[in-house]
Amino acid sequence: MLRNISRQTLLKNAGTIALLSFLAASAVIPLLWMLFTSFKPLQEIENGALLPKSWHPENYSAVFRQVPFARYCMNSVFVAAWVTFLSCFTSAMGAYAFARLDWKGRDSVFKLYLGTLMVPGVVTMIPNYTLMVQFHLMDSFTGLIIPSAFGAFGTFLLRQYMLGIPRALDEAAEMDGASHWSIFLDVVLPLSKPGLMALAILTFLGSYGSFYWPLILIKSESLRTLPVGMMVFDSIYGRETNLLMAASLMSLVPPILLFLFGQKHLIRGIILGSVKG
Amino acid sequence: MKRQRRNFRTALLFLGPSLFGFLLFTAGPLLFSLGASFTNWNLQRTIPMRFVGTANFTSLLADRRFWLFLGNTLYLMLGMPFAIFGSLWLAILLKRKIRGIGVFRSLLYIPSFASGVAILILWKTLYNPDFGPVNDGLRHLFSALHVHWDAPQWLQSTRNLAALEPEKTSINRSQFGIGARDAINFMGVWTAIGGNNMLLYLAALTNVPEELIEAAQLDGASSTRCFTSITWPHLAPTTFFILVMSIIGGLQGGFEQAKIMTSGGPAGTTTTLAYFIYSLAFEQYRIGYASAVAWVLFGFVLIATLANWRFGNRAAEYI
Amino acid sequence: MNRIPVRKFLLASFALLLTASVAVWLLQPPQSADGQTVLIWVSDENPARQQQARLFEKLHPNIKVVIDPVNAGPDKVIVQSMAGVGPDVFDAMDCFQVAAFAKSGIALDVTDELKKDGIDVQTETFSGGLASSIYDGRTYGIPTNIAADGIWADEDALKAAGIVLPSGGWTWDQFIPIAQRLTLRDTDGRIRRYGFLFDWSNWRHFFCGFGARVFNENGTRSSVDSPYAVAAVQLMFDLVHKYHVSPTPIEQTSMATEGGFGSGFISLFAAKRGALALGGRWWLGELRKAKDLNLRVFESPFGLFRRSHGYGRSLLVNRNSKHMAEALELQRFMASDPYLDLINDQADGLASFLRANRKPSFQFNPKFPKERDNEVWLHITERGVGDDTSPFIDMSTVSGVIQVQLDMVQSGQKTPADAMKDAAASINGEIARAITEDPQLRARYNRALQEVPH
Repeated sequence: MLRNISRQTLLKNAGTIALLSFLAASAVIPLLWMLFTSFKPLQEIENGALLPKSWHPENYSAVFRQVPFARYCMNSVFVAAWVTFLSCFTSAMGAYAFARLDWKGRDSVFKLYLGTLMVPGVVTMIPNYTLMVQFHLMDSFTGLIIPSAFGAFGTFLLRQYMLGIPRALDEAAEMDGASHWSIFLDVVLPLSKPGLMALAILTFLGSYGSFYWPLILIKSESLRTLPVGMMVFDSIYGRETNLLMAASLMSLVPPILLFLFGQKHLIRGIILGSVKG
Repeated sequence: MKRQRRNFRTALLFLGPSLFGFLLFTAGPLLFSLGASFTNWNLQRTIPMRFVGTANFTSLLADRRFWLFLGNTLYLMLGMPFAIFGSLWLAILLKRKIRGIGVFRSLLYIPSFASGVAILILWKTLYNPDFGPVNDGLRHLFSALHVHWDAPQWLQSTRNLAALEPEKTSINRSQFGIGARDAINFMGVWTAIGGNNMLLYLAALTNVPEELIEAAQLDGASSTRCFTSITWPHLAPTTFFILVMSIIGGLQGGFEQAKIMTSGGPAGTTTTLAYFIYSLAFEQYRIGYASAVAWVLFGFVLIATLANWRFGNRAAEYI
Repeated sequence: MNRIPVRKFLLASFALLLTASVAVWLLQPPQSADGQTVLIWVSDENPARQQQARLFEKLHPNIKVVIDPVNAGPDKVIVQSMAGVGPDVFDAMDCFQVAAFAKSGIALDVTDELKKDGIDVQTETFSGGLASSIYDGRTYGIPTNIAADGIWADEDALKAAGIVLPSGGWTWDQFIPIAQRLTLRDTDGRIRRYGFLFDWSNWRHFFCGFGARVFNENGTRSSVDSPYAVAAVQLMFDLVHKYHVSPTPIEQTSMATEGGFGSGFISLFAAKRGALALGGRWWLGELRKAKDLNLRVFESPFGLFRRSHGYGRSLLVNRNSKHMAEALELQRFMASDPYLDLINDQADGLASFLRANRKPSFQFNPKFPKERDNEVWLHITERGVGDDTSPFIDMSTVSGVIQVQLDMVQSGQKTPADAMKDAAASINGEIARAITEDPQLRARYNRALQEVPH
């Protein structure tokens, strides 16, 4: 009887593995095609074979020659780093006020925050654009960073996390006469580290991939971020598929690294963000 | 009382930066754009700005393009149910206790993770009707099967599985086929199926009490029955959340696809409301009219969310 | 990381970001050497433009010119100028664009300046290109170059088929049998070389040859549904689908080749995938690279009138430019002999000032001894008629509307008559919308209605 079941399970597992292998292959094959195409010479693109007949790693250096690709990367990482830092910090402070302090009107303000999470980006994007025009922040990194540095989503996510930290700890610190600022910095923030990591990864990825806002705001080539730079590259050198694929692949490297090292945090962040208070 | 007031001051201090940003870049603009939607504001200032009452909204209702683009937006949401149920199915598969199954989870997660401009450019290349690998593969497959079949023109075709006519709201059988909108839908399912929704389902599945399922199995319940009467109800809150977020995302989606892959074509069939607003606001600088369209879009999101709440709460009661 | 106290971590990250900011700021590409003025010129991405900028820099070592092709178009230029990040000089492509620049107060009125300098664009340049420099009787721009399309011919293909093309005017009826003879198929019936390559976005050329107009006389209504316009579109359709001397859209995409500036048809023609092609002298920018090609130029066939479509850009100065003197210098450069000769050398269309095209060095340029047909280009350009435009609608909107309808015709979903009827309705709808939004425009519209009675 027991052996029977295990054989059945074994069979079922083999089926699952086969099915999952097939699905994983369909998820990954387009990306492999991208990888192999990026090494092909232009004449081989249309021949339909997956692997290149001759390998041309110099396609990658050609990308850097044709467009200021390194600059695009640097700009993207730079903007995303600032956005991540500022947004995590302001969100953590806001979350502290929502999760740790009792004040009149707290819940209504929080509901307001929560409510704006479903406002389509384009609704606020139009006035924000005119705001940038008025402040003469068009075509600047400041204009890219500041409007993204305050996320209602981050405040919400960290509040969820902070609610799970036992209050006894900061109450003890308060008894010892610690100020709220030091409770925030020395007690709550260190304990929120996993939540902060999750938010940091999500924010960084969001900012790194953001397309709409840089597209309408940036006009100088030297300030372009990667997604906009990729679009320009596609429109000018779109027929050189091999170079295009090399550039696309390189633009995926930072997120893939983040994924490899921060998978755990990332998953926590996604799940945390889905639990409505 | 004194403590309460001090707390209020501290709270304001802590909330300050976040509230500043919230008011300046979210709440303020929200009201501002509502106001702008009642004006003829044009950033080029070639026309004197004035209040025009509800003129933007009435001309919107008469604007044929608006209805076509709304239709496109809805059509591009057709992939949603497949993506959601696919995610659930994958989550159930990945839930099995097999060594090394985590690798599959990571591999399946890659497409959604890597999404963005690079992936759109990749798919644009894959979909090339003449030398793209998609049609290459199809041609090989069909010649091996000895079936004669004209390969789809993908992003260059106005055809679609609903046989909708381009530029019209009617149906014409000659339009039946696979075209740009379907191509975007397929790509969307590919991107989303192993993504965040799958992770949410995976997490939610751990909360399904296994004792219940085991007990039911001992009582002789089939696995289908176990799923419909135990697992599925327990997943209802997750499904509900995913559905709401997908609808919100879908209604305001389609911009990047249109901008990178199709420029909204062919014949406007991949222009969604989001792309329409972009072109009104940031290519023609008709801020007033664009704000009106954006608010109508917001209205749809609100209605969808509220309907979901009502429906969702009722569904939750059945558990 | 667990060991580091949060305060130190925050401070360290903040310091790191500040350092990075300083680094990024320092790493901004130096726009110019010390003491140089940088002018931003919004133009197209034609490589010829870069050479023109370099020539200007050589003549004016204190000025550096940066060409910005990404922000082209009146909408962007106007809004960016208002936000304080506008270019110093920019191109206008047609009368509507110059009107938009002038009305929004971005373009500088240079009528008096030019008079002082003794430059008269009205008499010295081709009439086909003036539309983009003048608005309401005032001059804002200097025409930079001009073009009109003719027939490029692969001389070897003509010789092999024993065909001699007429040197003067000829009609499409004479043309079609020749194009059919020049269309070559391989053994399984697939077309190896097309008799005639033309771009559907070049519908204006066909319109001109049939005397079709986009607008009525006073610009108040569209007349793209006239029988002349329908005949022009019908001819385009027939060339592809009835006579099959030109590729269908699907055939076009399957002939994808390496790109360059301009349309894919130039590279197709250079690759000998077509025996004849409709295009301008500016095609030489790419065609000169094809060394094995023996080129001849002929006038384009016509439908009812022996005309072609003349088009040209103008260079305008931003009224808010911080480098006004240098910007005016660059504008004036467009009327100078070194620039005009460079345009003719580069074959970036034709120099817009007539005097440059009367020189013997234009008729025969020793640098390009194989090019024997510059005289033909001169005649073609003299027959070019400028865009007929309307002050009530943006030409890019018009082109967009017509392109969508032509797509429908091209793919066989609409007849030319139906498509052009829909196009006219769309354009009239846009005009109606524009005049309800803008009371000034409405007044102008009403005046226009009275000026020319129907």
